[in-house]
Amino acid sequence: MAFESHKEIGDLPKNHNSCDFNSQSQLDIYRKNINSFPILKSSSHWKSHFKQPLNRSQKLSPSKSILKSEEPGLSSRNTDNTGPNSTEQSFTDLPSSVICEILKCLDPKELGVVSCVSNQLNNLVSDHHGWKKFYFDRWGPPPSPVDPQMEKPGWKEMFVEREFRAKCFMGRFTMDTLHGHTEAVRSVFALVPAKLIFTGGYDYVVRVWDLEEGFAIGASRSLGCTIRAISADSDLLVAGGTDAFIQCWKAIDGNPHLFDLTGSNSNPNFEFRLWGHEGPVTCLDLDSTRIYSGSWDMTVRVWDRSSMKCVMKLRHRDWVWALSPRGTTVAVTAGKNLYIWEISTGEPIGLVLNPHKGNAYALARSHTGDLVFSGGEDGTIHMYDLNTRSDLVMSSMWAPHAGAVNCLSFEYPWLVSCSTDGRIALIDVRRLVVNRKNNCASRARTVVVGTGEVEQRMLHGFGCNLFSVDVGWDRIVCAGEEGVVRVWNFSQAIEMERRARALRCVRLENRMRRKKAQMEMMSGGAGGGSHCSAAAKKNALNGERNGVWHSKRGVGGKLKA
Amino acid sequence: MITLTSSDGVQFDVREAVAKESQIIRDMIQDDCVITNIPLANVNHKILSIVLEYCQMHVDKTEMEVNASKHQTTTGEGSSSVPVALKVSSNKNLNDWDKEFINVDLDTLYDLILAANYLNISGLLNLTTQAAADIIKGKTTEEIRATFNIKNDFTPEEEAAIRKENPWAFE
Repeated sequence: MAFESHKEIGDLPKNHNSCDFNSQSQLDIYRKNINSFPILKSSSHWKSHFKQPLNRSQKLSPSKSILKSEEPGLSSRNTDNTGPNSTEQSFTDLPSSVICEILKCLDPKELGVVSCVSNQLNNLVSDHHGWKKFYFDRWGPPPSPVDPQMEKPGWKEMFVEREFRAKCFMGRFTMDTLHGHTEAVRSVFALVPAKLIFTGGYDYVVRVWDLEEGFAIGASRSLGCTIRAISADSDLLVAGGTDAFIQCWKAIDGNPHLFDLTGSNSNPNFEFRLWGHEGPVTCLDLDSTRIYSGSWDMTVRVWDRSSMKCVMKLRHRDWVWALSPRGTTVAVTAGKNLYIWEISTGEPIGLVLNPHKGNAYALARSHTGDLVFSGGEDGTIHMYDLNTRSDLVMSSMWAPHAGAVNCLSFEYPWLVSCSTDGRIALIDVRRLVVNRKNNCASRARTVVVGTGEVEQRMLHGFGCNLFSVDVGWDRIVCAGEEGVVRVWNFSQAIEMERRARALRCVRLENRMRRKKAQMEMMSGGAGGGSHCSAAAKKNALNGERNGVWHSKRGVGGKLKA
Repeated sequence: MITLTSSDGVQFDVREAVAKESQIIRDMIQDDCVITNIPLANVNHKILSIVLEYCQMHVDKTEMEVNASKHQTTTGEGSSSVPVALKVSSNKNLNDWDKEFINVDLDTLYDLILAANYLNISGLLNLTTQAAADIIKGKTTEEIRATFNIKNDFTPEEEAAIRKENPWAFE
């Protein structure tokens, strides 16, 4: 029955090249035969507008399914059609632009699987524009500018390389200790693109170091107060401290170290202070257009970078400990609470009361800002995921430290924390993010407590307070009470691992060879021996027999004789 | 009313609002280069009917929302809770409807993607490409080949090399 009605549809184009369904009488004639044709059916409704829209959709869906189930028959009927709709199709026959649209909906791992399917897909995946986005979403712009001599910056290669590199923090490291500060260091900042480290603390001086080689490049004059916060990008260096001002240095063109801290060039265009806070500045951060500063005067101030004027003041109920701006939001920990503010409106959009027992000293966010980490006086670290829920609900918690968490730093996939207990914890959140996706699909929310399923590593052995940590590319910079800045260098970790593995292979091979030789010798000796002994036995037997025989013979001979 | 003619000569009379869901038709109408009859050389009647069903549904829903909000403004605040609830439920309905709508076999899906691409209906294109991506998700390389009937044109050495290049995908 269904097939017959569909036959009518198939015949339609031949018999009636133009069907004017506006005329009600004609429509009625068709309607009897062509019940499964949704457009015809609904065309009467189109004239009468949507009196019963819901009814129609109910009527439509079964008829659609009939149409679809008959679809192979239909397409064979339309073989004279030259459009792409009628021919036998494969996924790979779709235009490249359309396949790219589909690839846009996939994540890196799925793209990796797809690229192994066929040559065409591999090429499409490699050229896929999404890789750049993946890279930027995770890490932001690459630290070293893309080599112009490279024909085309292969974002996929760069992404894969960086993803692979992330493993290095589980490997071996070398450590540099940078001596120079005379008192405890309160803040460190690694500016990876320029390969610089900035540090400051209780000795009132901002120091610059070379990230790669670990030597001191320069130091500022005494700023007259404890430096509690430092931040920088390739245009601007900001430092803040007890005396409530923000000291700014602008980059000087042609200076290999970007900033001239010494003050030899006292041009106010390059070195100046921003006043506004009424208490010590405790945290600073920059984005491309603004400076963000938090203070113990319980406010966060937002400064415009072109005018260097304060454009916004966000008030809190307690001392501000840490802040992290991403996109149009800024996350702040003040007192015991965690806030998220919308900058365009100056309104709070998220608040967590008392996430930790005691003050929430530390804060970090992923590059896109959808993962928020807070660290507290009780030594715990919480993760909040804004991707799955806009309200702040803790999705994971760790307690790697015995003392307060003083500072957090995040670079995908590693969260690095330093604590009063003198230890640094590295936590790989990758698996949690994957879990989150699964959770998202099943709508089941579980709080992961503990460390069972994440890769974690502790760096320790410094029995003093660690105040500040920063992670960048393949280095971790940390400093604290002892006044020494330490740089962990993991850049060789993968090579070392490779070498170690090669060595292990060689050793294993040697051992196997020795064992084999030994076995051979043993088996050769034993086998030969047993063979010999068997032969000897045989001989002996023979001999005996011979002897007997001989004797017999002898006897026989004797007898014969 | 606008008449759309499919590649196999079937004519569909639709309201202008429905036809305008397609960017390409919207441009044509805006440029005044079309009065009433638009031939669509790349879409046959079967697919066009499905596409129009989608457009119709989405136009209806948006119009319903507009009417609901109008109703809300005219009736005042007393009954405002009802239209809001209606709006929420209609949005939810539309998503459910989309989900049901896109539940088609692969050949139809290809055709729909091509048609959406050709007619430039962004909502439908997003819906269909997402559906195709959902089919890919969670599958192994072999399963993808089998599902989409793609020939493995790598030599064994090439395939080994390419798998080595994408190690994280097989962790």
